[in-house]
Amino acid sequence: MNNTGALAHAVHAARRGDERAFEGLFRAYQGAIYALVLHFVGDPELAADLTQDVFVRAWEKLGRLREPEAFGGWLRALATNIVRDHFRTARQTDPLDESAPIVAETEEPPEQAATHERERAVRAAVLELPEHQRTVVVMHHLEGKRVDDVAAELGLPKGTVVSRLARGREAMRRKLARFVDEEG
Amino acid sequence: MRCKQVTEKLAEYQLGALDEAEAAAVAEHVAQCARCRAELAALERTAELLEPLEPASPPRDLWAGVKRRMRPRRATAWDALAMRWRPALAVGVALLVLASGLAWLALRGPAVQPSSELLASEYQEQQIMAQWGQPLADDAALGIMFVSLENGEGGRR
Repeated sequence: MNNTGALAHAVHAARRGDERAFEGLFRAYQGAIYALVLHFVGDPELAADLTQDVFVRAWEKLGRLREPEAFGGWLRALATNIVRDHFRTARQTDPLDESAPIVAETEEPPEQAATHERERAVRAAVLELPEHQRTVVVMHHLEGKRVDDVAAELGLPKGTVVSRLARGREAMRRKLARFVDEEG
Repeated sequence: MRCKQVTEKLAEYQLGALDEAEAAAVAEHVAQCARCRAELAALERTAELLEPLEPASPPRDLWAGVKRRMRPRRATAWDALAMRWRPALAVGVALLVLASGLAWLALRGPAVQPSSELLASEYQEQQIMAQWGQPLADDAALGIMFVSLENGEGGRR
């Protein structure tokens, strides 16, 4: 949904309770949200459940969204919050707990285990970022959007997006020190 | 530039967000400083660790599950206000501005002297305007405007 006018119209309609308008928003964003959630949880079935949670919560909280044009960024923030909440409550698969596996635990060769540990730490570092940094990091680094496009989609000045990316990258660099320092 | 200043700008430098002069100063420092060079490399490795999302197609029946859990929602108070009363709000704001101007003019005028020659409605109006500084005075002024409009006296002033 690239047309911001159409997006704003759909969001306004959904806020007034129009379920068909909300279904249109769901169709436009379900792919991006599902891919994002799957990236963090690694399990298609769980990703499907959590993606549904994201849209149900979006429906419930849509009235709080003040800038309809920023719906996409808001939805991504909701998605990462839901993923984070999931890991916090489901301790057995908590990526914030470094002892927990991100997928079902199996006997792995040490090298593969190290890779999984690093991937888990990276995903945890993203999830631990403040929401405003996390959203731009997700859109720029994970989804591969250009800074200009992120700024346009979030309705923010480019400088703000750059600043949030920079602070987010610094925060992750500190959290991932043992991986980025040892490889140097 | 000192290391501390450079370190604070490395992430922006890496993102290509510094102006030409700043970028040149950082580049010059980094070329000579092993510590800042290592810090820049660590930031670059951090960015490289962020793997792009893999394409994934969601299951086809996701919407059904979402729709089943959606409770009918009414527009929020703000939505209702914005959508239904937007024209009325615009008129109200315009009237408020107009009333404020009128009140200001009234306050600039001579002190209010009740006179038997004044019409009762005008006397009442002057009294309200004289109390402009009191709470709810703006409401009172708006009330006068509405009464005037209802009586077809909108252009009286």
